[in-house]
Amino acid sequence: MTKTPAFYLGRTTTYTILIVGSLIALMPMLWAVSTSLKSIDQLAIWPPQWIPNPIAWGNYSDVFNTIPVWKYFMNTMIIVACWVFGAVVTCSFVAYGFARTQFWGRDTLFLVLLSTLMMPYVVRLIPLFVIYKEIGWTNTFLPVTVPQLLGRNAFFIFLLRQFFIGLPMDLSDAARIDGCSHFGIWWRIIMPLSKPVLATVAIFAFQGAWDDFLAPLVYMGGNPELRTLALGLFAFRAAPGQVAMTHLLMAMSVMMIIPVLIIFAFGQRYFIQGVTMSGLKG
Amino acid sequence: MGHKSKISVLLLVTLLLTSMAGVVQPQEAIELDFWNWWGVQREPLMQEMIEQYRETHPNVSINNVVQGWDRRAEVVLTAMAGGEPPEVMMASRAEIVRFAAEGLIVPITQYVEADGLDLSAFYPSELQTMWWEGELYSMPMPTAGGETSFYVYNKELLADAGLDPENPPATWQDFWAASEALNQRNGNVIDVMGADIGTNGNAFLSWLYTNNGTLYSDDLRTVTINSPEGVETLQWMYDYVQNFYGGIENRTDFLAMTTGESAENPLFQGRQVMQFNNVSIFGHLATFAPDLDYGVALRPYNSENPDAKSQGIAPLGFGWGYVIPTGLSPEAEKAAYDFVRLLTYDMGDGVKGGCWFMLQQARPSPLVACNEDPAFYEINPNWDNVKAALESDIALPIVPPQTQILDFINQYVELAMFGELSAQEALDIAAEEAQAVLDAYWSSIE
Amino acid sequence: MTSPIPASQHGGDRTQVGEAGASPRSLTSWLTGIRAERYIGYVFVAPWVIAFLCFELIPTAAAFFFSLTDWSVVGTANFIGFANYIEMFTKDRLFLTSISNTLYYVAFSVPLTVVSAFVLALLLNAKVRGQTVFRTLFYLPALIPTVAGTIVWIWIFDTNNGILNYFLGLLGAEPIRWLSSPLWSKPALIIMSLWGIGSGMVIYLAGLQNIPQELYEAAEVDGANPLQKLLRITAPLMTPTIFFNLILGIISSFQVFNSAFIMTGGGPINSTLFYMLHIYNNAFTHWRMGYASALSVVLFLFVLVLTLVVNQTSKRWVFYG
Repeated sequence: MTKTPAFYLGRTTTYTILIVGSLIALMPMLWAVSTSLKSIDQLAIWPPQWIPNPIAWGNYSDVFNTIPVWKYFMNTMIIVACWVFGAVVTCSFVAYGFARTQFWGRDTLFLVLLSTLMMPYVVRLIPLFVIYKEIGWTNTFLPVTVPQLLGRNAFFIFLLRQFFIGLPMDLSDAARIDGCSHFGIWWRIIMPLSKPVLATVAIFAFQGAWDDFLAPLVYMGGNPELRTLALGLFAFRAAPGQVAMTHLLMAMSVMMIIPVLIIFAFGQRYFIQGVTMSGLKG
Repeated sequence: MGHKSKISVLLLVTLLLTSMAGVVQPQEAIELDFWNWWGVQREPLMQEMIEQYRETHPNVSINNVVQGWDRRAEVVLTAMAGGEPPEVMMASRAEIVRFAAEGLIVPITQYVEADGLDLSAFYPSELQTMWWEGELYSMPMPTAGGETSFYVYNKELLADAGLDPENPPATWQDFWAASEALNQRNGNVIDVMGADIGTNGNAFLSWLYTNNGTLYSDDLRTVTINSPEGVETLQWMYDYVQNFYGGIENRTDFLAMTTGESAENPLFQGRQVMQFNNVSIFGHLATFAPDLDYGVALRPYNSENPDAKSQGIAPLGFGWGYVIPTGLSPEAEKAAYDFVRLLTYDMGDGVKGGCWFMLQQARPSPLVACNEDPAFYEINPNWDNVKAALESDIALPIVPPQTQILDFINQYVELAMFGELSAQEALDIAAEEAQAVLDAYWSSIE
Repeated sequence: MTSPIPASQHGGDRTQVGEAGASPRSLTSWLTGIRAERYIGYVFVAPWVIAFLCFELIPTAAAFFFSLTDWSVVGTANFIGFANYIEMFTKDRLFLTSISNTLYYVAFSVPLTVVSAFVLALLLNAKVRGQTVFRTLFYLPALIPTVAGTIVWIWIFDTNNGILNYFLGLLGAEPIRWLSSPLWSKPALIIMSLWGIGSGMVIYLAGLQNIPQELYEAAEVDGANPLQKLLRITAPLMTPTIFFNLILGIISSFQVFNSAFIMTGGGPINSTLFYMLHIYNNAFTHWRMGYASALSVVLFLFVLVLTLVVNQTSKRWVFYG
């Protein structure tokens, strides 16, 4: 391509948008980091400072001294593993059914699936708690893991379905001619072709489980042994008459962001593998 | 297998069971989950109280489950409604009334009588809201009083403005005059706030009672906020906000990034002179502003109203008790009650009960006698004023639909503060809406 | 909209999946294939159906049931017919307030986030230096834990010391009272929602990878310019993804809650009292779960109908390859 003035103008615009935009996007994080490095007295300095002096690195170790971070981490990872498995395997399995098989009532059932996102959690919370209590699941990991393993997440299923529908039909048709079952098509053809979107749901599932606090809080609230990192943050929030530990809250938040950031940085590598017909095996 | 061997197996099992029964302690082990919101620096204190309890109740183990404050309502109500509450739970006064009305918690009247406890040891305003239909459901700790009845002020800044730091404003009129001297504002930006009088429904009610107004009539059948006293109070608040803050938004902006319970508190930073706060402030003052020379004074009253006097209301926002859900075994229920008693009533030399727990936090106790401890005077030179504030408290009655009624008041007070409605209009509408809720409640139980 | 894909790659109507795969095998195996074909879909969706029957159906049905009662969360639920619905439309002043607040939010937030996330994804799908870094930076705000977000966002929108007003001040603007004025509180929360476009961007990025490169190559051979490629290839092929973000945007925006709950509590003067906040207050502050259920049912039905309408229109503009 010849590099015309229009080309350079486009480039400049692109980079300007990206640089300004990412600086704006970075603001909340910078503030969190800055606050995480302040002592409790420095929090009060008015107007607020960007770079605290001295830098209170000790906040990060204080977090470990205040709450059992590693225990919460292990608890969180159990839930994360179930969410990611549920999203990548179960939800994609279900999404395949909705996208690439034909059965009576499919579109209605899909609407039912979407409708599960529409009833506010507020009014579902207590009936669901009663269900979990009746089957003896409260104060265990089961309420926050089993439904995810069963692919309860309509968001992931919908997302995967949209992508599976978009894949050319020729592929599966060719495979069917070769005697490949639907299971085979799903696992050997659709899954390998869907790495970008699978990476997306994996990231979202990781993050979703990582940050989810309401379900663990309500369904496992009676058992502090099962607390997750997101619930650990609550220890640093102020109750009335109680000192707010904003600096530790931010230190812990920054630490919590890093693993997800790493997952994202790895996962987004899959966003450069375009679908090419030549890469397909019939 | 022959007939004989069957019998010997039975014999063996019986023997085994008998021998095991001999090993088991005479008292059955009881496990109590205790949900509370005493986090951070108070958690080890609570642990000490639990250990003290263990000395007299070796067969009872108490799991101290400190819950997060955020999203408290979902956790508490789901556990209660779902039928899986802990054995002992910290609950607000409003919750206690409603749990009691629904029969979800057990009354402790019989235990209190059996132990011969002297309930007059509590400030009257503290205990009144623990009763429901003739039964007592909890005892208080911490105080519900001391929430609206006093303010803390910075003596140095008062003196700098030419006011007598030993003679702080006691009436609305003095308070206004002092604010003239103390407040520093540059356009929309408040540099030094003379006082934060509050702009929500709770602030209105706090001021209302210092103008001899009330929330309800004595029989709790009528909402009385739109009385002449009520309108005068709201108008006074509006005028104050306009005059000293230049509008409610400036106050919101001034307070936006400050939380009352940390070093960001503008009082600690010398950016605010007079602050209405609750009794937890003294511990925070000791932590964050140990050098601040502060005084304590009663909430000013309207000296133009001959019937008005300084008085606080308890409980308005908070105030806690400890409830025992129904359905426990008699032994567990008794053990739970004993624990509630330690948390709320027990005191004396070396007893680590509610009294001691409050003292460690420099907070007063709902028990009158506890506050006579000389240690309080060492921590807080203004202790006599704190006690006077607690004595000035009267009990605000609680009806089950209280939050809805307070919510209406809150909404319309805010509209008046923004100048969208006049004081009279706002209170008339709020009273009308609240009255409808109150009427519906009374007609539902009759 | 015409198909950008040559017919040979089209593969026929997607509703013809099974039949299209019929192969010249024996008649019987072809017939069993057809029959199995009819049921195989159920096997695929079975896990979700089980989860739905166990964990979704009863709580949702319960909401419909309790909407006809005066259930106070902790008490018994008495049947009161449609009284809750009647109260909603005749007595509850906050019902209309919360609806208009929510519609305002949805009307601005959904188009803004859907479009800006798409533009961002396009920019970051092109060959730019530091692609990975930019993508990560734009995704970053979505990662801040909700619990910590409270403090961060309040600081950003602070009138006197906030970073947003600081930058606007550099451009010569007067400080805006983002959270303290009823005029600006909703725009503040809409702007805040824009910080979360990273998630939408990621979904679009994934979608962009699904577009076969051959199409662009073929278009270049035909001498198409970048704009033509965008309009003729990228945009149509991205419609399933746009459709997804639109539907999800609508469903989640109508339930916007966290930002208002943690930052404004619905104020000032109910200017950010969104519908979900109204439901929450009734359920967990006033313990009127029956009434909250009725509010929820109305929301549920409204969003369901809206989704159906959007879904109907989608047949005209969403292109599945």
